[in-house]
Amino acid sequence: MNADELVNPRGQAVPGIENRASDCDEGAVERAEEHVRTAAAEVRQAGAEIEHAEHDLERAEAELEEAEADRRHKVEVTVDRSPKCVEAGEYTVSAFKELVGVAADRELDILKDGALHPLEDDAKIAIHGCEVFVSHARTGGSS
Amino acid sequence: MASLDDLAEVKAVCPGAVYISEGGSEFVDLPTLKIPVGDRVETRDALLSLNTHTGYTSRLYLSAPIAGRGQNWTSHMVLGRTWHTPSWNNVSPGRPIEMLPQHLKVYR
Repeated sequence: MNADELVNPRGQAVPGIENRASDCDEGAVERAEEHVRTAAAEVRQAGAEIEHAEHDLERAEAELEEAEADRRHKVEVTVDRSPKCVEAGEYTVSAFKELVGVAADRELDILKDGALHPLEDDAKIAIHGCEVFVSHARTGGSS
Repeated sequence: MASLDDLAEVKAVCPGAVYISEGGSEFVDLPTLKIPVGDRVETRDALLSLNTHTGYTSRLYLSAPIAGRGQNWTSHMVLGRTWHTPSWNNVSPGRPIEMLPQHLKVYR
């Protein structure tokens, strides 16, 4: 008896591995190869999709950066006839004065609706762009 | 005389602003000037002297007094018109647009 040959308890030969392998038809191999090809194609497609998603992510990040830059965009205001470029946003008047080079001991007025309105140093102002300011000494009093 | 650039600044708050002089004194005529008074705005014709006038470093004359604001109002004849002004002195000279808010402080 061949060492590879299997027998049942009654001594009868049963098909071994070689025998069972021999039972495999060519179709099964082809199906397996087809599965491998399909899986490889799927891997390639997934790779392409990942690459596409990475590009989308890069674009989204660029848009986010642009939006952030827009949020902190620079605008022009006029202070004592001089144009000043500042970030749009909210400031305390004292910080804004320092930013645009107005001495702390001067008072700042904003031109609004055709009239000058004084700004307290501890007040907040929202800068959107195109605002017009005038600074002046804090003088004048009842005599 | 103040410059045309100075006048252009004042025109932003008073479009009809013009320079005018009398007897060597220089003024800015400010028709229908908007004057913030508390939380409201009143309108007056105004005349801003750019030099010392009637013993004050400068003056802002109004066509009519503003009730409840300023002290010791007096009347003056300037440029053929009667004007009114409270006692308010020591406004620093400068560009008219700088002098104006210092004068308007008394009416806030």
